[in-house]
Parts: sequence; C-alpha cells; structure tokens
Amino acid sequence: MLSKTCRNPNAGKQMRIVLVEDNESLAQGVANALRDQGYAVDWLNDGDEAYRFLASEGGDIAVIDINLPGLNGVEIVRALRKQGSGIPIIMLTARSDLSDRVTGLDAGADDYLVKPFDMAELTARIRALSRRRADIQTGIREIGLIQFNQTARTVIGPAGPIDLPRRELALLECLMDHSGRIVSKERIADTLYGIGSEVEANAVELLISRLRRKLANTGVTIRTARGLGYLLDDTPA
Amino acid sequence: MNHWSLRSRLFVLIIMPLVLVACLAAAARFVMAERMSQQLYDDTLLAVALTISRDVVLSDGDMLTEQLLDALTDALGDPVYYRIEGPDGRFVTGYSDAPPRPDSAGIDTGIPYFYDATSFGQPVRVVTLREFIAEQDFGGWVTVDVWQTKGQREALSLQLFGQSVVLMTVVVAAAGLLVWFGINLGLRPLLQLREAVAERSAGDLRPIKRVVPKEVRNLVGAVNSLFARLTEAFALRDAFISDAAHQLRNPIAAIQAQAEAATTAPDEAVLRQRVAELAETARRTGRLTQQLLSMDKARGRSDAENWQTLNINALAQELTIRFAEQGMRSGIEVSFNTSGEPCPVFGDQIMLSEAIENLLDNASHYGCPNGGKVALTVTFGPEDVAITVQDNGPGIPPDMHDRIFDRFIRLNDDSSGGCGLGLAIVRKIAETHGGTARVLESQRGALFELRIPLAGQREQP
Repeated sequence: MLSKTCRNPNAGKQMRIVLVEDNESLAQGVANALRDQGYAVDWLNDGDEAYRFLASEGGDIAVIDINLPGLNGVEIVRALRKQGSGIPIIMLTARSDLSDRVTGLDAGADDYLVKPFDMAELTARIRALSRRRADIQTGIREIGLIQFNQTARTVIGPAGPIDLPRRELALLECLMDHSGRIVSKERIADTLYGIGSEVEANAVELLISRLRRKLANTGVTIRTARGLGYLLDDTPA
Repeated sequence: MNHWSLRSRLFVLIIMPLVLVACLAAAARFVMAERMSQQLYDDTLLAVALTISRDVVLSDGDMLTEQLLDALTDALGDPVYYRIEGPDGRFVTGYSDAPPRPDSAGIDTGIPYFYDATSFGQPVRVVTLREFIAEQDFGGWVTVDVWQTKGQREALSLQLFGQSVVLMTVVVAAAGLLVWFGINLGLRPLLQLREAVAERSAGDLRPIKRVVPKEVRNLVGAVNSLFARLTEAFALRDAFISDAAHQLRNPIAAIQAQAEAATTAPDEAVLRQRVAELAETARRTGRLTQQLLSMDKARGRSDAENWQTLNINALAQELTIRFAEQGMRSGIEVSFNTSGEPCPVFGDQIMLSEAIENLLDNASHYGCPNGGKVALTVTFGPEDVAITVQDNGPGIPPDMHDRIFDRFIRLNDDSSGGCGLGLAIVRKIAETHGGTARVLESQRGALFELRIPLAGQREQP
C-alpha cells in the first residue's frame, strides 16, 4: 500500500470525498482507509439521497458504486452532469462488463474501478483526479517531484529548474494529460507535429529518451510498453 | 389471432364460413321463392285480365259488374282494377286513372306485358294486353290494362324470407353447438397433457411418456429433448455449485482464522502483519469468486444473442493497454505485437475479453514473480487468429501442458494463491468460439496460445 498522503494545493483545507456505496462493510473499509490518508469522508448508501447530497452540498471528489438502491450510479452521474456539476467522479462496478464501465464514462464519470480493487489503486486514482482539479485552478501541475507551470511554460525539479526545449515540454505535457495511462506513439506524434503529419519513425522515440534522461531522479519515470506506447508513472519504485 | 385459444381458433374458422354459406343459401332460397310467387301471381293476374276482356266483349263494352269485381277481390286478396282503350287510344270503359305505362313498353299482339307501377301511392302490378275485338261500336284492337295492389305478394315474400332466416339460424346454431362439443372432445388429449405437465414438480424432468395424438408428438418430443438438456445442465450446475462451495470454504476458513489470530496479537507490529496476511487472503478470495463467476458466465453464454463481428486486434490491444497500465507500476514490462492482416472474428466480446485478461493475469501472477516480461502477440493466419501470451517465469512442465487447463488444477509449487480456474475459463471460452487453448513449447517462461477462427470461417452458433 502506498504511504503517500494527499497532496492538496489548498494547504490546510481537508479534501472531502463523497463515498456512495450500499455495501456497509466495503464502505466502512474504504472510508477508514481514506480517512487514514487524510481525507474527510461522507458516506451515503442510497442513490436518491446521494444525488440530493451531491447536488446541494457537493464535496471535492465522488466515489460512486453503480448498483445502488434508488437511483443507480450511472443515473446519479448523468443527473449531476446535466445540472452542470463538475465534481470529479470515480465509478465502482462489481461487474467486469466492459459496457457497464463505458456507460459510466459516457454518462460523465471521470474514471472507474472494478471491484474487488486494491485501496492503493483507489487512492492513486483519487490523487490523479484531485491533481487534475488543482491543476486547472492554479495552472501549476505537480507530478512526482516536479512542478510544471503551464502559463510560464517552465518545469522545476527537486534540483532546480529543468531546461526543456519546446517539443520535449509539449511531450511532457501530453504525457501528463494522460498520467497513469498509456499514450500511443501515434497520439504523441499527432499532438507534437499535428494530425497526419509525416514524422520520421524514431522521432518520438528520440524525444522520449532525451526527456527520460532529463527526468532522472525526479520521482517520475517514463515507462515503455512496446507496441503500445508510453506511460508517465509517479509510483515510487 | 395467434393469442387466441386453439378452441376459439377452430371454432371461428369453422363457424365463420358456415355462417357465410348459410347466408348465401338463405338469400338464394329467398330469391327463388320470390320469383316463383311472382310467377304464380302474374299467371293469376293474366287470367283475370283475359276474363275481364272477354266479359267486356260479352257485355258489349259495359262496365264489369260490381259482384264480379268483389268476387275477384275476395278470391285474390287484393283489389283488381281495369281499363280498356279503343283502337285510337279512346277510353272505353273501366277506371280512368290507370298507372302510367313505362315508355319502353312494347305491347305486341297476344303477348301480355307485365310491369310494376304506382297507383294512388300504392305499389301495383300491372298487365297489359292487346286483343282484337269484333264489335261494331269499338271493334278492332283494344288495349286492356288490369292492375292489382301488391299487398298479398309482399306478405308472401316477407313470409318466405322470414322462413328462410329462421331455418338457416337454426341450422347454424345447431352446427355451432356440434362443432363446439366436437372441438372440446377433439382437444381433450391436449388438455390432459397440459394437466399432466402442470401437475409435475419443478424437479421432475423425466420425459413425458403418455400416448399423444400424432399432431403433438413432435411438440412432446421437443419438450422431452429440452427436459433432457435441462437435466444435464442442472447436473453440471449442481456439480459446479458444490465445487465452488468447496473451493470457497477453504479461503473463508483462512480469513476467519487469520482475523481471530489478529484479535489476539501480542503487539502492534504482529497485529499489522496478521492483518496484512488477512487482507491478502481476502484479496485471493475476491479473485476466486470473480473467476467462479467468469466460469459460470462462459458456460452459460454459448447463446448467440451477445455474438457479434468484432475487431479482435483492437480488443487485444485495448486489454493489453489496460493490463500494462496496472502492471507497469509494479515493474512488469509489457509489449504488444501484431502480425498478418488484421481480420475480424465472430464472437462474444465479453467472453473473449475474459479469456485474454485471464491469460495476461496468469502471466503476471505466475510468470513474473518479481517484475518480469509479458508479451502479447496477435498473429493473423488465413483461417484463424492466434493470440499468444509469453512470460519469463519458470514455465510449465511438459507433463502439465494439457492438465493445466482442467478446473482447480494448479502446479505443485504454486504459492501465488491462484484458484486454478483461470485457464479452465480460457479453454471453455476458446471451445465455445470453435477455437483452441494450449501451452506451446518455449525456451523461456510459459507460452500460452488462444486460437479463434476468423469471422466467416465457422458456422454461426
């Protein structure tokens, strides 16, 4: 299990997580683990009640089970998005049915986890979502030990500023946009050089290896999945 | 009309044409009867006309005697009127208000002409004759009109009509009654069959042995064959449930023991360790239930409703990406490769995903003890696609290559806490798709292959 605590940019203000789950023992376990990580947790076990709570009081992040008494998880998400709520939402689903997950994402959820899941996985997803939320507010994105200032276009590492040329900066930004997810080489090429542009086969690989060298000892690694793409990982080794 | 009862269908199908035929017969009978009565009345009218014309000649052109007219009216039931015109159209004798002759009336000598007309607001039947009379005063060709009201005729027609309606109604009602009883009698074997089936208990799936009419023999045969398949499916399910319960009992007992051990831990360090062990056992149990569900799903899903043509290459890539996003955190190297021209397969996406995920999970559980390599390759051949998953773990001993796909079979030195269901699921899904799952010889680690026929290479299930 990760021992990392919540990195909250609004220092001092505790982050509130709304947990909507009708299985009491699971909810209790999750709530305890999240509280140990320094989050405040509101636990609700009924779909209708959860919707009213989320629609009026909110919270910083919602973790919602799909199967609920009253409104189901997907319906809650759809209703919240319809009324303009932008709260980050992670869906929990018991079924490994791909279409169910897709329904949750289609309805406006940001992420999903299949039960049973590791607590480490859930906290990693929560961290990623809260980071994304904080990034939008401050313009400064953090991952591992580096800070990426989106307005000034600068990157600061643990040993001071890291000098990155334009393309490497764009590559880092592209990987950060999908942090924790694999980004295909084609997608990177499209982002860096424009869609459909002719790029030499190893241009992206070259950029990756240069960026990887500069990110050494920053708590961030670029991992390669051959045939699939690259993944920006801040999991401590 | 498919929701109607068999009885109603038969009844309606027999009675409707019968009613139609009866109506036609009644109508035909009525038309014929009316024609006959018309003929009779016309003959009488003609006889009266001839009598009148002779009488007029005999009485030298005088009016008919009242007695004669009364006698005729009494005899015929309807009053009779007449008029005689001389050769030049001059009125000779009788009633002056004769009904108008139709324009088309061609009155030939010796042939009586009959027509319908109206006189003083009443329908009348008229006959017109031309006769040669050798008489001094008005001798020559005279025209005789004789008419009569139609009261009697119409009464007779109405009577005939009424009779035929009553007759046909009686015939139809009698036929309906007979048909209804006949149908009930004919359907009795079906009703008895229904009762016999309804009386069965839920667990009684023995074949139906009673003697049934030829027409339902096929239906009963089909039901019996369904019963046989159900019996087989229930037996499989029972065996599976007992297996599953047995498999779940051990880890749940372990959870209980570990939890109890945690409550009696002497200090916090030991407590933490025991709870961590407990969490690990719980995790394995979760995985086991997941696998049991998948196994159950794979067995029940051979029906075609979820089958579709799907891009197996994209599916394999998607699943490998998802696997990599998880596995790479713990240091597993993942690679993906496609060779050959990607072609679609026909299958169940959820089942195929399950099979590929199981192979990947298997590789990460058994093949990568501490950060290994997992390579998934999709190779398209002319007839099928081979999905291989290679790891760099200890591999599978050759004598286990086939047995490893059996349910609840694990390698002897397996300490990873697997449940022995994953590969059984993979093989079951491969078979459902008309493909194969096997272990291939490999220089390093284990190499599993899942072969699925390409779309169009196999009859749809």
